[in-house]
Amino acid sequence: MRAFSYHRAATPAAAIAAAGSTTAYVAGGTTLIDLVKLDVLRPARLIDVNGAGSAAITARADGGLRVGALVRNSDLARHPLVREKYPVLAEAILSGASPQLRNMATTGGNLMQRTRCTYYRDGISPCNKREPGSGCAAWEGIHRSHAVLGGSEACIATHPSDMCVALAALAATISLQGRAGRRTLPFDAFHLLPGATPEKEHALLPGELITAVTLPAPAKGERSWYLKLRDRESYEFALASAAVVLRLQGRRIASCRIALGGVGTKPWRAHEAEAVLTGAVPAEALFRHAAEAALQSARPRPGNAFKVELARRVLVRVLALLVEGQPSVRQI
Amino acid sequence: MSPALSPRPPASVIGRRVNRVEGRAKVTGQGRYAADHHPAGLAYALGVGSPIAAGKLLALHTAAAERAPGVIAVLHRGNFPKLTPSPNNFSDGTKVGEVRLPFADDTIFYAGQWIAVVVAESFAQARAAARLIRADYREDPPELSLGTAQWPERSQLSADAPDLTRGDPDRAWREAPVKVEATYTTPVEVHNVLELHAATAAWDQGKLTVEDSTQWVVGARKALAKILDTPARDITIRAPFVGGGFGGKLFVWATPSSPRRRPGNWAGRSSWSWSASRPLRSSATGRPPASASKWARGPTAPWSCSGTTA
Repeated sequence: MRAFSYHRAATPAAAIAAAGSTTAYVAGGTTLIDLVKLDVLRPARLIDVNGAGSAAITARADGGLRVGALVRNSDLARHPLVREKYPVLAEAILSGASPQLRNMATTGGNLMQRTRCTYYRDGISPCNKREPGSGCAAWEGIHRSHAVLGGSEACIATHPSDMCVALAALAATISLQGRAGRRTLPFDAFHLLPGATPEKEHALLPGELITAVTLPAPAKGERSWYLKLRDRESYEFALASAAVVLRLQGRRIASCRIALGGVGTKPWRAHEAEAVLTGAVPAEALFRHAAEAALQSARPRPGNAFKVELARRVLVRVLALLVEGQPSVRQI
Repeated sequence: MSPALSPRPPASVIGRRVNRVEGRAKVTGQGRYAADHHPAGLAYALGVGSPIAAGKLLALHTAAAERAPGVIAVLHRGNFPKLTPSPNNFSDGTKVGEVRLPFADDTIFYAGQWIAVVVAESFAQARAAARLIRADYREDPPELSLGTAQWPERSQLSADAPDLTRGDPDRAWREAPVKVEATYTTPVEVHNVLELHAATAAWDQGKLTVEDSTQWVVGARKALAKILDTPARDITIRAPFVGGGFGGKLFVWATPSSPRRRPGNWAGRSSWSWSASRPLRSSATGRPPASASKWARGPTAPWSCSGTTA
């Protein structure tokens, strides 16, 4: 058996001081423990950060919301301010995983969630993400669930998070703490495209720890929603999903931010679609035009080509819903 | 005049919310499934599946696994005791999921087929050691599609398939004035059971008790009696809880059929827990495969049917 040691950190600084090249931070453990059992991740030392940071949700003076990295998914989804001001986030969280997993999974951990690509997880197949240079079994293999946006010949693994798609559409900011001090990153700069180095998934520096996610204040009249399409209605990853944050002024769309899930190698911000919609008068044909723009750069494989049209339709659906009004977040 | 409907008897459960008899045990974690039994001295066994779907197993490299911490034995074709195939007859209760016994030959018939079983002091040790096993194969082109699969001859159908021929179908077909022919296909169905296939077996003074994940305890007992060459009266099968079956746990698979009695038992152990790990769940045990059936009938002819599966 592969032995590892376990260290419980009391503060972010202590966690960072304990980090090294063969360590892994663990919070909820809903991704990490699975992958250690599968022998896909092999940390020599686990640093438990559950006591090393904030589990608080704090309203900011500017109207935004600061979410500590250790806030559990279930607590975030049921927080009154989240349900009222960021329905897209509550709905995205509640459409993911199961109540048991959401009770464990943390905000920071969700950003670090790993792909569900079966070739990555099986420990046997060629996989550039797990074993750089070994190839990509999904490229010619079974890739029905894989990404059509942002992939490369080295990797087409889908980013699995629902929450991150909402955070991308909300233009959240990520607070980090590391050996060189504190810094913030715009959400879109956190996850990396696979390119030739799919093993590198995010912009974290060695030892750097996620400490908080900050949501900007919603503009007056802003509406937002998340819709997820999947093979079964519960406890299943997205085939295609869309998060939209939108504000109408008079007859026109004054502003909007859009992100797609289930189709990208990272939570996929669709700037092209936003450009089509901004300033325009809502109409079915306009939504369709925006959806075409969002999927313009799609490069599907034979087994996942259906996702291109599915993603267009889920985006059109969310836009139509939001123009009608703000849907209500599901009860929990 | 129709008889008046009598009022529902007060004891009836119809239309009322009724708790499952084992509901409390299940939701509180007290329902003990096949792999939840841990008698003292239990050894844990885990199957190692073939990564290829067709071919021959040429060599098995087990030395590293045998040296791994906690490993008691690595069982494979070279050292596995000889078992007796079940007659596989539905009507006498000896129907099995797979007629071929574990390690009966070097042929690989499907991906996930067991090529070895690691026995260790703990499940985690068995799993870690299983990853150290390497094998050399000669890989043959696998049959991946129902479209290219062979239609079986009548002689290839299972021995207890009943002969339902009545009259003279060939002649009736030749002479039918109108003929209808069609081929129907069904996709594969995978049983995503929550309780994985597992069995905990213990020998005690010549008697075998198996905590089995099975939907048919009587059939499991009869089939095991044949496979282990042991009187059925000496075998007890227990399955108070079944965590999903969907038909995939009707017949005996490899999990309970491997605890062969031999002098002193393997490495002196009398208790075994056998598990199929999750990736093997849908390969080393059964499911309804994709199927195709050809149907033909003339208005006066009997039905004629032939089928294939892949």
